[in-house]
Amino acid sequence: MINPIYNSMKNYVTSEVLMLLGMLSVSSYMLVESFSFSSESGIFPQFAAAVTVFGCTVLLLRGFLPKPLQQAIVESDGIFNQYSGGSQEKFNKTNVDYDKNHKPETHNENVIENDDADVDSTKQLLLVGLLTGYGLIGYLIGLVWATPIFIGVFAKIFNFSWFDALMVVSIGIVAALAFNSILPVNMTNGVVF
Amino acid sequence: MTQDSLFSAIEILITGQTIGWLLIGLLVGIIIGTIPGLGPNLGLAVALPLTMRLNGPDAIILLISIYSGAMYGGSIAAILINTPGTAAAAATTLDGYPMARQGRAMEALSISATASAVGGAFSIITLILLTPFLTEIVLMFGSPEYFLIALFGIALITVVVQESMVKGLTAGAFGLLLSTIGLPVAAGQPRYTFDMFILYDGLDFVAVLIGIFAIGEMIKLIGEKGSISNENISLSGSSLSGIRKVISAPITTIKSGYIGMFIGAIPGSGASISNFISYAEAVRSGGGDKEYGSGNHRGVIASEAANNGTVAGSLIPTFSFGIPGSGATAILLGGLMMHGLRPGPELFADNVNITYSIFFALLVGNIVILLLGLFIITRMVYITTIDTNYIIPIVIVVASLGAFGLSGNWLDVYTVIFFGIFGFFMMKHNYSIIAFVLGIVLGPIAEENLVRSLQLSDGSFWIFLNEPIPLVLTLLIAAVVVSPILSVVRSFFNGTGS
Amino acid sequence: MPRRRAVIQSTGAGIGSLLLAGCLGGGNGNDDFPSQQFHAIIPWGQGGGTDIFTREIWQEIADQGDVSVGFENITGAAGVRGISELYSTDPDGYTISPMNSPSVVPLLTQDPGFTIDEFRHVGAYTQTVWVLVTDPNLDLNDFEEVASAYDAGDIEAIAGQSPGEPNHVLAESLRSELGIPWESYVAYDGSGPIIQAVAAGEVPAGIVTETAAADAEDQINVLTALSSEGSPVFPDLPVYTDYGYDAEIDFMGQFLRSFMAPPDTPDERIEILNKSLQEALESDTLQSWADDTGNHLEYLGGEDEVLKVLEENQERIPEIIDLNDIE
Repeated sequence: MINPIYNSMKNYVTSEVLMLLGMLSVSSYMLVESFSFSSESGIFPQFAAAVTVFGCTVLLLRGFLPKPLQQAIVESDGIFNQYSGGSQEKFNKTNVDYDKNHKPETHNENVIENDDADVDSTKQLLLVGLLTGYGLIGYLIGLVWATPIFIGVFAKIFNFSWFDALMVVSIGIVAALAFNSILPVNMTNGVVF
Repeated sequence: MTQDSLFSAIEILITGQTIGWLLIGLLVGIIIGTIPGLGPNLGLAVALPLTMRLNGPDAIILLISIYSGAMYGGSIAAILINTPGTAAAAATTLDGYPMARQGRAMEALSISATASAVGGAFSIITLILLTPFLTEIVLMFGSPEYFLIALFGIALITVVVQESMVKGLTAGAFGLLLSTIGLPVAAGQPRYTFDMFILYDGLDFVAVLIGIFAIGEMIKLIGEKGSISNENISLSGSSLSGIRKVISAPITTIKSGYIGMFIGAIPGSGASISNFISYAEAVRSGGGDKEYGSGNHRGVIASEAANNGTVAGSLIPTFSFGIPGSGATAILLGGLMMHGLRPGPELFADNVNITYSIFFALLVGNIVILLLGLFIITRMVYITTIDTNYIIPIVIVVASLGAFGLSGNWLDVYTVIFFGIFGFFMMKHNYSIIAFVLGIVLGPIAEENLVRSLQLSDGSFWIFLNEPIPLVLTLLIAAVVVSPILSVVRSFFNGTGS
Repeated sequence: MPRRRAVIQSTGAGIGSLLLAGCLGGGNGNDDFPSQQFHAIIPWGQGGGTDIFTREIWQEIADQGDVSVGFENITGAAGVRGISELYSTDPDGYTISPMNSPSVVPLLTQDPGFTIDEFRHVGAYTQTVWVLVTDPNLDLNDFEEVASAYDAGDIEAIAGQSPGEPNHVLAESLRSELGIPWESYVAYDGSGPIIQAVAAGEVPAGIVTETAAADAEDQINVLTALSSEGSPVFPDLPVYTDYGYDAEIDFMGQFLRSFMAPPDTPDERIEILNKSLQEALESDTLQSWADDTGNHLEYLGGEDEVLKVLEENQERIPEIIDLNDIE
């Protein structure tokens, strides 16, 4: 009895749902808070927050809506669809005859492959962790010094050869020093030293 | 007046280091465009903080050259390894790669360079000729009109992109909402700052842009399998015959340039769309020519002339109304504002010489693209084989350093990291990041003009309806937002009826 | 720099200040000042007016002292972030910041835990006068006509920047001190946009800096200087006191640009910096730079004069606008 419920929960709580819940809580808070501002300061946040809250709610609840409505909410509705979506596929087929091993990656910036089988999410998670670490260490000891550490760990995790790792770390150090001298802020100090 | 500003524009362009920045921008752009997975958005986002040290015109010319160079650079990988360096060159693979397989790689590369240059040059000359008319329109716009056109830009994006309208509008509204953090222009009360100094100026939208376009893209890229190509690159064929091919197809070239320009001028529809539409048009007017898709040079011309034409087109809404049409122009707008160049009347009346100098730089840039493409680029093809795993840490480092360098505020670094992750999930679930970014960028402009309009009208919303231009804009926004709702309602009744 | 700070901290505050006093005091202590790099913290953005002035002037002062100077823009919170940074740096005379008199407003509203009179002030180098501009199509020819047009309700709005900015305080003082009854205040983001709006007829009148008005003289009517001492950019321009008003709003109508150092910077070093500033302002390099760029540079007094202006601002502004509205 518990298992099916758990499974349906697990199917429902995707990263998209989490993202929408995050957006919903931020926008709800901002909506409530906006009523404490003067009317001039409050009108625009109220408008933007109301639209966001409404949109997030509709998207979160779309699973409970009737099928046709659901489809209309999520479906592509671009005015250029017939070209970039449709023709793209048609042309890809022509191309496949040429070289079956080379599937042309013709997705554009607006169409992301939803096919998770093609994506290595462990690596993505690792990178997110590394990024957070970089921000934290940078805050503690200064971004210039955190940079070689970040790249070094990255190179270690992603199995760079020693030579490649050294090259990439040096490029990083050069970039860090260059930014430090070009931009008018001090990047060599952190809160610790 | 116009003549004076034209001369002063040329003076800006030829004095000082401007030409140098133009060349650097083009080279950087071409390299970034060539590497699969990196595109103009990333190049512009990372370069933006570094332009702080330059004067306004130099900074914008550097950024536009990166944009324009990346548009051309994308075709190199598309032709040689069948992987477009940028989305804007996706249609180039369709005929460019078959040409390379037939031993005509050099010919395809030079067709791409020539078509890019000619398509880009025609559209930019048209833009220069249009500028006086644009000025007339811009000067008719006041506070109510600017508020409405900012909303219209965001609304339009959500119908132009191939995603769900509800998702697009939600993303856009969330962007608008986040832009309200900090001190507003029209009233002195700080909002959502939790009494923390670092939040008084709100989120720096440049940091948000860097996060989404640099970090977000890197998170996406690292998860993609098999991005390295083992293609044997052979550079055979003749570059001269490539130039001849373009000259012998003037109508395709110029038409494609204008298609690109027209589509670029519509907010939300950048080069990733225009190259396909232009290609489709070439196929259509070719009367079902069977050769398309198997190495027809006109296919390469159509795609490449269009994506460079898009650059000129996309500058129209960006410079005149401050409504960028794409990620790249959103960053460009960030650059304009960072250097105190406000789009609208100031760029078209007082500083029209700066505007002209930027347009001229773009024109010169297109000629340089031709020269680079014909003589140097063929030696840079090995860039296409760089393993993206090496590029990812460098891009992250450069993006974070640049963000911190904006004002030495740690909030900017966390903004970059947070919005990198957030942007990645938005991309993953098909939420329009362009709509979100435009929300963040246009939020302050929209709010300032909304509040000011209401101050002028004593709080009455009639100010958005009682003059012809605001009325038309209001009706357009209503049409854009209501039409999908109507289609939802229709499909609902059809669904239950059947 | 960090190492130096660590030494002072580890020896304890009392001994530290003794040590510092020992270093700086005495007859020959001043001979080697300045001997290190100057560090200018600029609380406003790169390329802005204050940034440009600071870079030009301190480059010259550093050149004269045969030392170098580093510039750092720490922007945010209307200047308060950078000013706070200056507040907590070593008072050794090497770190300085620019200060503009209207910036006492964000210090009052944000209450960062210190006040402007705690700082040491090096001296003032220029002042900028605000002017009233009108839409040329309205046929308003002098300050008196504008005042009666507002009185009669023929015109209602006046344009300035966000609440708390000098032109907002000025607009409020026009109403409360001079009795000019405008109806609605419309906020724009800078003098440029105000001029565009006035020229396009969106608002009848606005308050902008004299330099911005000079750049757009053909589009707008420049009517009156809002300082009784007149405008250096428009020497022939009438001033508001010409129309029978008392000199009530000068403290806001002209804003003073100066430099300051952290609290407790020793007197000798402030004196040296003040002399260097005077010399630099008179130098050919800076004077010809000022001529070329249309800026005006003139030594306008040392610590006493600067403090007098800042304190008057600090006192009068809360009387004119309600700081709670901004907070």
